Amino acid sequence: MWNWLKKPLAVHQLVLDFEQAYSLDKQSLAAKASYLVLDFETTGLDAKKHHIVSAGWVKISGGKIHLNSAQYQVVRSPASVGQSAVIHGLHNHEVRQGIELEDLLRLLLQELKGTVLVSHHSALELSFLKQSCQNCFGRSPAFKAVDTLKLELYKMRLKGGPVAQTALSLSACLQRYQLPEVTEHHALSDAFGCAQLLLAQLKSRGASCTLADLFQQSR
Amino acid sequence: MQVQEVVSFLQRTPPFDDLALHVLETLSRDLTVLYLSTGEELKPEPQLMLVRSGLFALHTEPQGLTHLQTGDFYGYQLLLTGLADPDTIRCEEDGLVYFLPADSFDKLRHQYKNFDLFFQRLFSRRLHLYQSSQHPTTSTLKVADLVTRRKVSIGAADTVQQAAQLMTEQRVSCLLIEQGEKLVGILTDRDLRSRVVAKNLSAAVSVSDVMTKSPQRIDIHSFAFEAIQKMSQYNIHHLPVEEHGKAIGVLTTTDLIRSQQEHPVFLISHIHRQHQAAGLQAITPQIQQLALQLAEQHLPCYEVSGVLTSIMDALVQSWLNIAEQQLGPAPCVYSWLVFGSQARRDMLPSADQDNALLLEKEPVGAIADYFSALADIVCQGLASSGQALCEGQIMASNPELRLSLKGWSHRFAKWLNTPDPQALLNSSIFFDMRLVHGSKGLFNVLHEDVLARCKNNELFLYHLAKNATERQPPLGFFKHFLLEQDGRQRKGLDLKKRGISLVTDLVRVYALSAGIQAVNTRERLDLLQQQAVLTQRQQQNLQGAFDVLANLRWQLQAQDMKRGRHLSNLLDPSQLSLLQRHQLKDAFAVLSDEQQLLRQRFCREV
Repeated sequence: MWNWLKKPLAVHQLVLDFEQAYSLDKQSLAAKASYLVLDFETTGLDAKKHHIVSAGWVKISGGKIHLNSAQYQVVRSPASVGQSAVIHGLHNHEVRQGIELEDLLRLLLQELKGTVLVSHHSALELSFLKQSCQNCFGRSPAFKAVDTLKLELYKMRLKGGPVAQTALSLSACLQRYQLPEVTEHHALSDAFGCAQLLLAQLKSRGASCTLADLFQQSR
Repeated sequence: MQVQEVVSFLQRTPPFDDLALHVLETLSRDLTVLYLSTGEELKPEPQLMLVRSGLFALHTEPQGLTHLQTGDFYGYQLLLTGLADPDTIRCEEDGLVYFLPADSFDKLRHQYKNFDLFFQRLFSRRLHLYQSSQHPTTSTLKVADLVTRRKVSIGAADTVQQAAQLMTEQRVSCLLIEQGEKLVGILTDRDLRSRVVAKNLSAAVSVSDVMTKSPQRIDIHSFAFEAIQKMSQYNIHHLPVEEHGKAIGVLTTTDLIRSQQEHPVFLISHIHRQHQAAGLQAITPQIQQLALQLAEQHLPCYEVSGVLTSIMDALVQSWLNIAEQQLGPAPCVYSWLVFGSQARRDMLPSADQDNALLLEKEPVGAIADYFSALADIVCQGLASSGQALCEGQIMASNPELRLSLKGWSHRFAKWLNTPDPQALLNSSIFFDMRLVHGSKGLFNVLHEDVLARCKNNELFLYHLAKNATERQPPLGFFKHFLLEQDGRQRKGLDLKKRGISLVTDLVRVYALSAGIQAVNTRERLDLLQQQAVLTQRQQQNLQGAFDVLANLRWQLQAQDMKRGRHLSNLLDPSQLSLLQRHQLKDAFAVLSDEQQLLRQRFCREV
């Protein structure tokens, strides 16, 4: 009857380790921090009902995107990708060949160490990340993320005037900064686009901007 | 995993577009991406910078401003030569740059020749600009220095007939059309021809109907090069000049050409105007001066050689005229021939004389005496004008080289059928021949006869090819330079004997095998490729190697000239930049490969 404890307990240590090792100095300068820019493609929007289909991420350090850190993983999903395949282009047979969700999370927890998590519309990534850790490890670290969408919204509100919903999509943001567009709905391309956007947003915030400011503006 | 967006950008950006997809995918992972905002400056780093978006200004000291935009590179100078330049890059419009680390860049350069070539060309183009901008001799000239303050104008309501009369009276090729004090149009000789006569219009039409309205104009205080730019941009030969907004005269293309007094055209016409030996003897310093100027303008060697050869040809013609003045008209038709580098139009100031006479009649009796005297005057005369006598006596002053058509024909037949490679080696210079003065018909008969005898003559071509590959490029097994000593006990690379000559010898074999008339190495290569004797790749490689060697040799000799030293073909490789070393080794490697191919083709050995 204690079987349900065994597996999560064994890996629970991973989450503890991560929580212990993960620390950020919120007062450090945003321009000099290291970031992991993450994007998930999922079968839907509800982390409780839907699954992660693929994950892509790329790291920023020293103010530069390092393309050798770029990773892309397709996740073996327990359920059919269903209609979501229309959006992310991944079909059942590809998803069946992916890695286990647990392996993806182990990889991510490893990669996240010492970096700030970044996403465009990070609520989605955070909810899936937390839910997945909960499911696999019985516990999730208290992830926090910088949200490039919210950073953009913050800037636009400062300028005043109405903000159209569409003006905040990743491609609209990239266009606004005259940054190269990316293939949408591919986890790695979107992560890379988001990373480009973050570089531009960091520059526009000046050298004195701290991580605390970013988190503040990401709320 | 590669980012698709980055890979597809590389796929459409030269020189990366030449690389295979999987190479780009791997390569893209080595990149880092930086965002720069307006006003930020970037220090040179030992990395290749590729502009992805935005606009960047490159400030360099002598040449001012260059703009870099999407697909442009920076930093390759440091990577290719190890020499950083003091340039800074300033961002003028926010944008992204990609950086490729030095080791990835070097790996690509080693693996992909075209990739390497691209950056070397990019680099040399830039270097060329850099050097030429240090010589602002023409660029400081102002329009005011060139234009004649003479305004010939007419009213817009006057007739074309009146305009034509005024132009004839005033001896001008162009009229300014004014209303009050305001310039409203321009009318040129050409306009009268193309807009009036050709259109069958009456001479009574008014000027305003046929003039060029609101013409281009230039301020008197502009630089001459601005005028040149404007005239070539709009393809016009007359440019009204204004001072304080009022026309004061017209600048013509002739005015601009006159400003280029040191232009070779003037020296050649000057030579042709000399009818006295003294005038031609005094010409040497002018030729040297011109050569030095060409050196400073960083013209490619083949252009310099072309100019120098034209001058030497003009000298031959002038000395022949002087000789005929002294000796009276020639007793028979003759052709003055040149061989070797003068025939190939490959001359540098160090070239000596290689010439001969082809006579209509047998050189006996009075005819022999006349041409003996003629040859002496011309050969000695050329020597006094700076073209050294030939140590090997390949000169018209040598009676062996004053022959009739029959005599020359026999001479060539002997060389062609000789089984003695040494005799052939000594005669190979004669197979590059060109007419400089005299009868073209006579010369053509001989040339065609020789070409016909050479073509498909397997034994002759075998010996010629064997000779052409006897000497090898001075590159060791480990791709290091093999140095040798010259007569002055200096060590170095003999760019002529171990470089340029290898190309000309090799190309000559192919050209003779195909019966090609051209003797210039560039022309021969072009024709060989057109006739599919050589592949395009071979032609380009040989051409490239030839240019690298010839340019280096010319630089070397130009330096010697500047310092008043003996002109040498011996290059000290430690004086080369990393890039030049690389290019030179590349050229030698081309020669090794091509010598092997030549042997395979004509000597039937591997």
